[in-house]
Amino acid sequence: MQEHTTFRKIIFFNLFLALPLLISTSAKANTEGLELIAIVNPQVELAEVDYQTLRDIYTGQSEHWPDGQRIFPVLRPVVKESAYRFYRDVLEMGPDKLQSHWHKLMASGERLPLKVIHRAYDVGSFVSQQRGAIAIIERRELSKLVDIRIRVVQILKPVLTVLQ
Amino acid sequence: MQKLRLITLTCTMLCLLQAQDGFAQTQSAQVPENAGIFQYLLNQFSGPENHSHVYGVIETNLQKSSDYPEGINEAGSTTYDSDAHQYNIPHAHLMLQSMKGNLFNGFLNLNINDEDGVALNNAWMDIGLNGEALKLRLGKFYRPFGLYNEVRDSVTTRLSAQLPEYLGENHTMISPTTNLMLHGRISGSGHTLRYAFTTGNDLRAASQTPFGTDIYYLYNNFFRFGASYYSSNGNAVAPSTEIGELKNSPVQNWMDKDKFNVYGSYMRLAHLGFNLDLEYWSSSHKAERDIEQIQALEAATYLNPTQLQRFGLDGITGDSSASDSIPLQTNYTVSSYLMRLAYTWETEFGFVTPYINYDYYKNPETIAAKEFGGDEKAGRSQDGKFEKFSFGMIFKPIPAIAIKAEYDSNRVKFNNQSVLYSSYIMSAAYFWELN
Repeated sequence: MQEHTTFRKIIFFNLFLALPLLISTSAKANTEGLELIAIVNPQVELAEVDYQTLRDIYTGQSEHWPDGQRIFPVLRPVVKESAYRFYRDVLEMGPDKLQSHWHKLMASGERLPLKVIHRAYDVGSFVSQQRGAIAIIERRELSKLVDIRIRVVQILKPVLTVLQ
Repeated sequence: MQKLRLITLTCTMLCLLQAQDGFAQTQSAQVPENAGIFQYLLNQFSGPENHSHVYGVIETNLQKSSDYPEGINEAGSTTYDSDAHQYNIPHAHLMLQSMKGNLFNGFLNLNINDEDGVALNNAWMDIGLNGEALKLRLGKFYRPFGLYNEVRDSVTTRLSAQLPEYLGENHTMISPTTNLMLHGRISGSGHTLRYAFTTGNDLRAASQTPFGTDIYYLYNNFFRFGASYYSSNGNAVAPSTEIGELKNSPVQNWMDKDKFNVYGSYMRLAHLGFNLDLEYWSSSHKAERDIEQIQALEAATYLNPTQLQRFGLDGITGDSSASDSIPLQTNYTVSSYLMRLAYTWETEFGFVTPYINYDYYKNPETIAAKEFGGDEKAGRSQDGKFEKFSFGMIFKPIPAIAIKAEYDSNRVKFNNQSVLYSSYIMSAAYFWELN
């Protein structure tokens, strides 16, 4: 009986130890699904893009791709976690501030308004048809775009450097 | 068996036809590498994409100035006056923008108001000569000059209720628009260098070629530092030789001719909700007055002792002075600087931005009467010096709407005394768009 109780304690202890691991694995799977990727029109020759380039594109600092094609950035409304994270982590500004910034560009005739599309499939369709288009979606949404001709571009996260 | 063969043959033919059709589409979309410059340009400008948008800005405001010095009575004391509060619609814009292909932009900006009817603020086309590095802009457009001239119609995003004094409608240091510009930008990793070289009709007297330039460095919309220079490159004249209200002209309308240069630098720092603007401008004028216009001014309006002395009219009694007493040649310097600090925070109702502002403007040549080409500010001051301390608040419930309130304390020198008078302005602006 004593042996049986000890065995149960060991099992519970191990489970207790394994719990954080299980949670972290599940969270990782969740995060992988939420991972942001960029999709571009197939004519845009791009393999990967970093945060700074995305920031330049979405704040209107960059107007053309290196090959001269005009850039058409597409935004998602902030009803999705991924869109929220895109504003927070990549653009480092909220949607209202970004909209104000574009109003300023528009009032001086420098840029047309940003295209805002909600559904992932519509985003994919637009990007596939519009030369120079770029959009940010979640990796898991790629499964909805299998029949659409787009180029998937990896987003490079900034590398944190520790000063010695 | 024969039916099966027939079906197989039909399917094969259909598949081949479809494939050939797809191949044809791909071929037609491509331009041969050796197609030449004309084919290349045709492809750039006449592509299928034609993106356009119709939008605009409306701003209405209410303003009033109180207890400003107006004259000197027989006892030698200063007399004061106040304006009735006034409702205005300074901005009612219709803007149309179009982009075609990779290299072509067009922009039309009309301002509709009761005074001028429909004013053509901007009508330009931009042609890419070398991507973003070099573009050619033709038409009528706001020249790059300082932090505010190019975005003067962006009233919902401007962090103040009024333009800075150096761009003030009745005493601007530079004409806001010009006609031809070579410009471009080099960007990379958040760093941007923007440059522009302009020329146009401006206010030239004859066939002179005025020249302007503006260069700034920008880092991630966080830090901006730049400088501008403008030369009339010869004689310039006011838009109208008639004595009347002077709008958007750095040349006074009592000048026969005026040769001037403007230069200055500016800086913006935007971080953690704070926005700091600093600008400094100086303009040196070598001008020649028109005798008849000066005599007309003397007869028509009040000139303070310094202005009378400046125009050679002091000690003169009667309706008009002798022509030989008026100094025709004059050299003078107009200077201005601006300091503006704003802080924006987000509340559950929208963005709230309080700001403080110090604006300095000095113009020794202008006079007080706006209806005769003066400016009611520097022109009211004995030494041509005008200072404005402002406190304002902007509320933006949504990005397209801005409600602003600003209180100004203005300082001028009048009757040998430093006089403070107040004014306020409240405005509501709306950025509208057609879907």
